[in-house]
This record gives sequence, structure tokens and C-alpha cells, in this order.
Amino acid sequence: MRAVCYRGVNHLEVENVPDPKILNPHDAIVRVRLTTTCGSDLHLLDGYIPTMQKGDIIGHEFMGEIVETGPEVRKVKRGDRVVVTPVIGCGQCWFCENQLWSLCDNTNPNAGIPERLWGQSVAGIFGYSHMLGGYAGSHAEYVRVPFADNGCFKIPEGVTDEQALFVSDAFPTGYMAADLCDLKGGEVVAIWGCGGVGQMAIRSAYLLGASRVIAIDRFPDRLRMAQHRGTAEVLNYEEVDILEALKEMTGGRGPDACIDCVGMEAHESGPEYWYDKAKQTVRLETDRPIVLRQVIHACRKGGTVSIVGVYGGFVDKFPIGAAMNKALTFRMGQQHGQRYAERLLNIIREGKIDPSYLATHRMPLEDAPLAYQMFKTKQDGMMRAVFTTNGR
Amino acid sequence: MGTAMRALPAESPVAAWRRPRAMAPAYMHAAGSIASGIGAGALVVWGMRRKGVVGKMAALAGGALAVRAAAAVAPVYRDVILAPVRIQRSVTINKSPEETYRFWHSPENLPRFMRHLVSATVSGDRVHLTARRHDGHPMELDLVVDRDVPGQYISWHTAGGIKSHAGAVAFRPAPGNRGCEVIFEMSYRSAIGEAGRFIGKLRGRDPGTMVSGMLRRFKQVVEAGEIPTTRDQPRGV
Repeated sequence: MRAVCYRGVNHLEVENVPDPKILNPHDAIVRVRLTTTCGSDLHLLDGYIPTMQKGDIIGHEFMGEIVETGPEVRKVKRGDRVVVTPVIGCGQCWFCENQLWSLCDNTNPNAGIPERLWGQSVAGIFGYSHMLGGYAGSHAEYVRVPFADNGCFKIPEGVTDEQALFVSDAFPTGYMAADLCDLKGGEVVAIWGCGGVGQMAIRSAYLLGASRVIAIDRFPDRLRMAQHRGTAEVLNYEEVDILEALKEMTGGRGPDACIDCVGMEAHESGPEYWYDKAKQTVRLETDRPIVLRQVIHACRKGGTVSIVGVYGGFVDKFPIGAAMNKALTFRMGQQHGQRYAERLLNIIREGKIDPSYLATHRMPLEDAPLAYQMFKTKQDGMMRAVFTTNGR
Repeated sequence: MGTAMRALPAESPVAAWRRPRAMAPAYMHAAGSIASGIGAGALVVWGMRRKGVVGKMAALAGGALAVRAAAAVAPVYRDVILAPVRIQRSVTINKSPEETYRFWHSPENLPRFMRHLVSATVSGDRVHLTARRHDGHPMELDLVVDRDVPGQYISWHTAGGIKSHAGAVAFRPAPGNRGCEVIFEMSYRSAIGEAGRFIGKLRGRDPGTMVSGMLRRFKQVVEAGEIPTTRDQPRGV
């Protein structure tokens, strides 16, 4: 089959690789129909997440059709049209039972690496470095899905492939970001980063009761999408002082909840960016916490900070004093997709949110290296490139 | 609660293998002996190279000193280098202690999570293990079960052989309905002791890492019914 393989920092190639086989009793093989770029792939390609190896198949946000199942697969069957969560959950450990799927104890074959780095291991993820399992990713014609009964969700009639695709990652991550804010109704929510996840966080925050959503980015087309599709108020950080603007927009209180949809490669127009970029380049810190610092400063006293942008290691100048004295609540994590998938498919079926507008570019899998270049530099208003396989 | 707080009962063979105390004076004496041993060796070499009676006398005297130094170092080798290495690792499993114990107690299950183990058969209080070594050759090992408390505890020691050790595994309920805490402890004497352990660690083969891996696989098999793998999955060249 054809697959998009990592060859080195910012170097991808589409190669011929063997088809995947069933390796464990709870496995299924999915023929990929659509698979899409995710901002977190850029951290891998840029070399900021260690343990990537030459030849790794990348990609984790996908939908397709089940073509084969292992002997212990019960719920899904051959021919089912499914969307698949990127995080692999066994369904049996304490964390899965408590709906904390991305913390699954049993799906990372390389659990020893995160145990040394982070104290404990977390769940395996498709195409997301060997530290997080080393599973072959979804930018391929076929993918092996371990614990298929937990990770594959049948797509109901009336929901298109392109709508269902984003129930894999962008939608549940954005939804969880808003869910973690524990909104009671009437809150002002500020969201940093208007990529696919940020766009979904905007829609989800309104759905869960926010009365105002303020979205922050620097790319005009992304801000336009946040404004027109998400009905958010928008701020361009290259044009305004974000902390001042947020204060003024909220009567001096600051937003009740602040969501970081950016993560470790944050950008800023001032000298702070170069300070962190320099430290990151020489590995004095692994992650640039520019957004994280702003989020903590901006948040109202006693408010909630919700982090779904990806961090990997260590940050510097973390304003713990502001966080502690303002009594902020921190919620964060990789998305627990299995907790949200059915709920989100229903939201789509009922017509409340249609995430397919994230798919700004549709391209054949063969064009993936070009697509990632465009995606990284945000060319041509690219929000998400969706890859089709088999020339469809 | 007194005994429940302990991972292992005090009378466990593992506890009895603990390192002897108050050896410090002997060690300090030995340090001097090592120094004099080196001097003795030098004397032997000098004497052997020199012709004549003086050389022979010096070599003989050096030899005698070397023997004396070796005799003083021997207990240190026995007590320090050969001191038992003790390893303890724990894991929490989302099942009852009874169920977890039962799985461990069934010999046919052991090869599912103990790497290199081919089979385990039980007769009376003995367990016969067949394993495959790193070089592929088979290895046989007999264990004697010392204590077996259903749902709680199993301890054993090896009946001779080069891979001799004593071990125990305890199963106790985890607080707050979190299943079962499994505590595995083993103790063994190795000809190269701590040094060997350090070398093993550099090669990623130290017993602590291996025990952690075994407990992780045990948990994976008991909870999820399979051990996650990426072996033989597709990848680019």
C-alpha cells in the first residue's frame, strides 16, 4: 500500500509499504477513506517530540471502512463505515472505565519511555512517535486499529464522510477543551489558536453555555472563519495587545475561562518569541510557553485554564505566582475521544454543528509532503488538508 | 492493619536474605589489604625479573604477602560483592485480589507474561520451569513453593541451579475500589553482584527493568486480554 512516511525533520515521503495485518485479537483493519493533517503533526515533523524514527507512518485523524476483524472484536464488523479515535484505549483499565481514555494503562508498547520522562505512561496514539506507542499512522491506504471495539464508531446514516472525519480528533479535542471549562452558562471564554481545534472549541463553548467567545490568532483567514462560522469576537495578536484588549472587553475582569489550543510551538510578535525560540533551539527548554503565560495572565481570578494544545517536556518562566495567587483551576490533557464520539456524531446528525468546513483542501495522499508544507506555512488559507486514498 | 501495611510478611524468605549489617570495620581492614595486595604483586614482579638470590627471596615474600591480602579480601567478596540483590516492583490491576491471584497461580498463564518462559508445570510444592535463554538454548529451573495463601500471597525459592533466587508476590486490595495492588519481590546472589547489575542496566537488561516489564505484561494480559504490540506492522524502509 501507499503510506506517508517520516524521513527526518520536515521531510516526508510517500512510499510503498506492506499492508497491515491483524496482530492481536482485538485488532481490526480499516481501509482509510479520509485522513487529515493535524497541527500536532507539525510538532513531530519539526523535531520537537523525540523518538520519531525514519520510516514511521504518520497521521492519526481518519475515517474509513472496516475490512477485517480479529477474533475478539465483537461490536464492529466488516463493511462498517467508522470514524476512529486517535487515542487507543483498552476499555478495561481503571482509566478507561472512568472515561479517561487518553490515560489508558495498557495500549503503549513502549510504556517505559514516558514512565521515565513523565512518571507514568499514557495511552498509545496512531502515528505519534515511539514514546506514544510507535503505532503506524493513518496517512496510508490501510491501518491496523487495536481495540477496535473501543476506538471505532459507526457513522450514522445522514452524516457524510467529511463531517464524520473531524469526530476523530479536531471536534472532540475542541469540545473537550470547552467541556473542561465546566461552563455553567453566561461565561466569557477566550480561545488562543484558531486552527481546526480552536474552531471546534469556539462552537463547543457556545453549545455548552458561553455567552461570549473571544478568539485569538494572527492569520486573517482563520480569524474570519472564527468570526463567520463560529460567531466569535476576534483579536489579531499582531495588531493589539492581547492582555489589554481582553481586560477591556470584559470590564476589567478577564475571561472566565481561557483555552490554549496552541501548545509548544507558540508564536508571538514581540521579543518574547525570540527569547523562547532561542532557548528551545539549544534545548534549554523543550516547549515555548508563550500562550500559556498569556492565558494565565489574562484569566479572571478563580477562573479556569484549559489546555489542549500539545506540550511535550519543559517550559521556562512559568508564571506560577499569578496562577497560585489568582486561584486558577487548571484542566488539560490529550482528548478522551471515546468519551465524546457518539455525542458529537449526534450533534452533527441533529444539524447543530457541521465541522466539515474545516476541510479547506482535498488532496490525494500522494500530495501529502506538499500539503504539510502548505499547512505549516498556512498557505492558501489552508485550515486542514484532507487526503483521499485510492484516487478517490 | 499492622501486617497489611507490609508488602511481605516478616518471615518471608526474601526478608531473611537481607544484607548483613555492621560489616564496616571488616571492609576498612580489607581496603588496607587490597593496597598491600597491590604492593605484594609489585614485589613479585620485581623479584621475578631480578636475577639471583635477592630476587627469589623478594618474589617469595611478595607471594606470601599476596596470599595474606587475598585471605583478608575474601570475606569482602563474599559479603559485599556477593551480597544479595533485592528488587521490589508493584503494579495496580483493575481486578479483585482473588481474580488476580488466581491468574498468577495458574501455571499455564505464566508464559503469557513471563518472557522467555516456555512452560511451567506443578507437582506438589514444586514448580518446574522451562525457559529459553537469550542465546536460544533451553534452561530448566525448579522452584519450591514456601507459602501459598489463596488470594493473598505466594513465595518460593529455587531448588539449586545457577539462576538461584528467592521470590514472593503479594496481592492486596487497593483503596477506593481501584482493584488489586500486586507487589513482587525477589532476591538473588550474583557472582558479580552490584557491578553486574550496573552493567545489566547499561544494556537495558537489569532485573529491575525486567521485573517492571513482566508486571506490566501481567497487567495487560489480566486487564486487556492482550499485550500491545507494533511488531510486524508496516513501515517505510
